[in-house]
Amino acid sequence: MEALSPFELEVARLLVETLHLEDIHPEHIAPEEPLFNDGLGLDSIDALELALAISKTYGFQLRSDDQQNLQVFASLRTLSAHIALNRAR
Amino acid sequence: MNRPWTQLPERSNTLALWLIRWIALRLGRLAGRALLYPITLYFLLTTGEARRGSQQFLRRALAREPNWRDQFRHMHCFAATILDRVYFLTGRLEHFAMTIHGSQSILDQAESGRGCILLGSHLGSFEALRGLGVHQRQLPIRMLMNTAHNPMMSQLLDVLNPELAQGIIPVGGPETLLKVSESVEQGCLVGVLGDRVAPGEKAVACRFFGQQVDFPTAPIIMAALTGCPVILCFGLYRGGHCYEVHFERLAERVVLDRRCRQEQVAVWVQRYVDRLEHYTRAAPYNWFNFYDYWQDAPLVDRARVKVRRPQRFARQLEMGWQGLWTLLLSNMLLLVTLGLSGLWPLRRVWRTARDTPCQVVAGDWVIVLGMRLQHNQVSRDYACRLERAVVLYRADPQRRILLVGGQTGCRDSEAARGREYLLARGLPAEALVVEEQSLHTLDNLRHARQLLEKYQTPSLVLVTSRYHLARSEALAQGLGLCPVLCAAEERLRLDLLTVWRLVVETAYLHWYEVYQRWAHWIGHRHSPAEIR
Repeated sequence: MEALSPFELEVARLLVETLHLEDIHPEHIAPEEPLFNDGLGLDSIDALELALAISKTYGFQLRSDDQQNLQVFASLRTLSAHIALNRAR
Repeated sequence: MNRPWTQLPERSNTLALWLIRWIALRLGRLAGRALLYPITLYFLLTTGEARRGSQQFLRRALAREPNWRDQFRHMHCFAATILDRVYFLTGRLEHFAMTIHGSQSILDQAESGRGCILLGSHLGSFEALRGLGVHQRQLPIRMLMNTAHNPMMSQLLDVLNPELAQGIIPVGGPETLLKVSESVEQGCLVGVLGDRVAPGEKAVACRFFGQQVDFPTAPIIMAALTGCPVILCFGLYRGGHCYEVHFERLAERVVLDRRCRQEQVAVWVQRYVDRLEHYTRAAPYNWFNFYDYWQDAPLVDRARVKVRRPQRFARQLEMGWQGLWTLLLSNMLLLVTLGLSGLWPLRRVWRTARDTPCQVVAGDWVIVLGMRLQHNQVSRDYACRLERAVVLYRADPQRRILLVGGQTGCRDSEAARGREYLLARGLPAEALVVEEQSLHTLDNLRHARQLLEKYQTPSLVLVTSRYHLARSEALAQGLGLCPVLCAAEERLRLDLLTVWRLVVETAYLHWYEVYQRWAHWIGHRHSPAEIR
């Protein structure tokens, strides 16, 4: 399996903790795997929880009218890249 | 038809939508309501699954075996609220007497500038509330709606009230709930119906009418995450022009503890379900979940039903809508001409049934129209059609036989049982092709057309029961197919059941003719694609 970068691992930990994914180890999430529907099987409630956690931890808001949302939420890798780009802290 | 049939476009919904608006707004509510009776009867006679759903519910709510009058009343109530929806969505509230209970809670909420979750259900008419919100009190209501599963409703909304349509938050995609949360922050009242679980949605089992049923957890979790109040609302139809809207505050704030979140959510959802049961008991005929809600069907069937339910339901609703508004016109014509306009289709049904031969020489493909199974077995009439296919095949073994007919209420599809029947009669498997998706005659023919598309101008033989021939021919011609007809029975035998079937077929054909002329008249020159 492909290894996670340190920041991806940090985001993976946040994801597992926020969404109480007890049976999943952050290190075992495949970075390119889809987060929603297939793959991890998250839903839009999880997305909201994740968005709240991201805003608390990294100090920026994900907006619903962002055209890139589908891309941002596509995988752990794209999400991490988006956070790295926009984080305020 | 000049164009090859594969290139004919399928008709869109626009015509039916236009009809809905025209009848409701031009002819007026009184005329519309007079027509509800034949329509309700039509529903009652043709939608088996909905009727069973109604029966199962009424048995619980009335605590006795429901009779046909109860079921008629149930469906009539549903049809009436559908008609009124047009008025609500266009803000014409002057037709109605509305009693509002607990309005203070909602007004306070709107004034506070804080948003909330407006938790409703398929009990009665949520539309009543929407009408109220937009046109009387200027309540900023936005609806969370599954537009993909309910294309007809969203299109209707687009036609009737584009402004309201803008306010819909479509379900699907990661950003759905982000949108909800932003709307709440902006002070919107976000409406959501909490009594149906979408496929793949998280749910919790609650006690409802003494039995465990799954309810979605999303509305409560939404409220917890956005930190806003939850207000319940029920728009009950009380007959005539009376509606009763109830508002109740369920929670000022839903706080969930991480460790026992699941249990707490279950408690909150159960509180909602308790109130739902309360209002359902108060107005039982307002219950508009016409399917196997408590999953009473035997376990064997359930697995299939469960998977197919949402699609089936959406489809039924859509058929219902289409049926409703195209049937209106046909009925009106029959009423106005005192039934005389039915004579012509009656003549055609009768003559085709009487005169069609049962020996056919030409034709590479034999299409056998499926028929509803009885206790998962081939019925007598269907067996007759299949026997005719056997004869045709033996006369020319080069022929191939196409069996069409999906799952209509039984475990197996019509086509699959038909195939077994023919195999048992000694026909080789390679001569048989099955199509198992279609649910009614028009669907049968449409799928047959699709399947046969790849063959160069195939010559077709259409086999069906004598009483069914005229309509099948008309529908096939409408789709650009020109089959040779072949009757299943040797000759037409007139017993009571056949006479009744000829009458029903006449009604169908009348409806179809009316629709076609109407479509032609207003410029949609393609054949109607939505009539059964």
